[in-house]
Amino acid sequence: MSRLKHGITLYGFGGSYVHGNATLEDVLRKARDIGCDGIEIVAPQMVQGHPNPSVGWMDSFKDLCAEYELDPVCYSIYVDSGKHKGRFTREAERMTDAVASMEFAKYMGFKVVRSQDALLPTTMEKLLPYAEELGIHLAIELHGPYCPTTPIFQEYYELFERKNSDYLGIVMDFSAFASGAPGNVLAPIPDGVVHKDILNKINHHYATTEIPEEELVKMIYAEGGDEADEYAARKLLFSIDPYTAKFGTPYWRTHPDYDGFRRLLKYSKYMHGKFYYMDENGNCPGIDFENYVRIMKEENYTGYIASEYEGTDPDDAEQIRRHIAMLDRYWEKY
Amino acid sequence: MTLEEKIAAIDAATGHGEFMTDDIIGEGTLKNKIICGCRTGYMFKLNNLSYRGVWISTLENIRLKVDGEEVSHNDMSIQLRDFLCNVDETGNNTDVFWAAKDELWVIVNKVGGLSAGEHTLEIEVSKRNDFGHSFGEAEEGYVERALEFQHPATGRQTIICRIEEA
Repeated sequence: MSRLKHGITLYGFGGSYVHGNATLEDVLRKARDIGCDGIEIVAPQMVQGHPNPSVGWMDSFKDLCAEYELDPVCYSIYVDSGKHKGRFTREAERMTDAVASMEFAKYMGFKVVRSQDALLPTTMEKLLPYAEELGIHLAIELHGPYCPTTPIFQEYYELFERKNSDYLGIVMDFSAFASGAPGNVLAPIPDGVVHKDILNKINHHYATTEIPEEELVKMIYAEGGDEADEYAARKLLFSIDPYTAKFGTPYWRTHPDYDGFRRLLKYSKYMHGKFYYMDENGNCPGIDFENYVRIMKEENYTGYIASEYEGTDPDDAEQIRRHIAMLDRYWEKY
Repeated sequence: MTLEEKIAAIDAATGHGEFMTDDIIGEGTLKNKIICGCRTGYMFKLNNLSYRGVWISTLENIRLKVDGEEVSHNDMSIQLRDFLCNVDETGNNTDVFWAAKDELWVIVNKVGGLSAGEHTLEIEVSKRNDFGHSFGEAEEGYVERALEFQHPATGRQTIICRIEEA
């Protein structure tokens, strides 16, 4: 029987790394201990010397991967449009950064380079010959609030269809398929500050119905809530602001874009199984992993799915273990 | 609790959302700058504001008050590894990357430094996003919707720091 290939993105340990509680070797050891088929590194976060790492550093990274028997799979880069005040990056800058990153990735043994939608389809097309030469799969991340039908991703899809190349594709991030706030989102708030019982009910409505936010706010007050509850709901539960309201699965909370996911799967070799919280029963409320894994199985997906933890539990390793176990459970079920 | 107290409690528990951390100033890092026994000012570390590192050029403003007195930008610099610039010049340095584990120091020129004892530091840092979901070609400038770049986020912190030895 086929098996789902698991990735671990070191980003999931980013909190402890950035705050000085873990070294790069520590997080590699954690990934090894959890067990996975491949790792991802977020270049600006953990690659020393980014955006121009030295050969010495890259050699030491390769040595560490060999020591911990980890396969480098995905090298994640960005398009930093904030760098120059008042303007986006020029195509020449995007080309320079992307080609250099693909070269670094190749040197360190990565197979996929993940960039972002700001790379633009026209630039991505010009990068294809370099990706082919290097044998790198250059992929764009589809991240919430965008979804498969967002216009820019339809342009990317047309490019993938036209080129039909193994070296261009997409990294789908499950933030684009989430339907509500994580189940434990209210946990950090001390007791007595908000009505958690009311807000949990509102959170459930938000994730499972299309009741407009303003109606949900009225429900808070009808249930006996107050302005602090409204503040918490707007800040923590409602993920759609006026600028992103036309995009993203959360906007279509009860209509996850299964068809769009299936359509893009053909061009995917790696995806971000983004999650915020795994409960003690091994479930991930708010993201319908079961049906997406079913589709992956139906489509004979042979790429990786990375367990990308974006929560606040100090025991990040346990969260990732639960996530991997859940994915395997669904894969075996269908 | 008043509404304001409740909102403050919610924000304290869940973050203000502007930067990765609300603790802008590195705890316990305030010290005088002493060169060959000469006190030319004082300095403290800034905690990295992002999970993945920051381009120095995205720092739009740093305001600092020490014991209620505003520090002039003429006297304020930042130092990162071997890079040093006045706080007003950050925007011109588009190739300097403040990596997640790099130490970034704010240096204030002040002959004699700070006196021993406690000092209240109030800091306000404004920066635009390093990256975002808005996109376009450079020649277009930032499109109207590119709010993450048009409008810098601002984080504030007030902290009492101690100089052990003047």
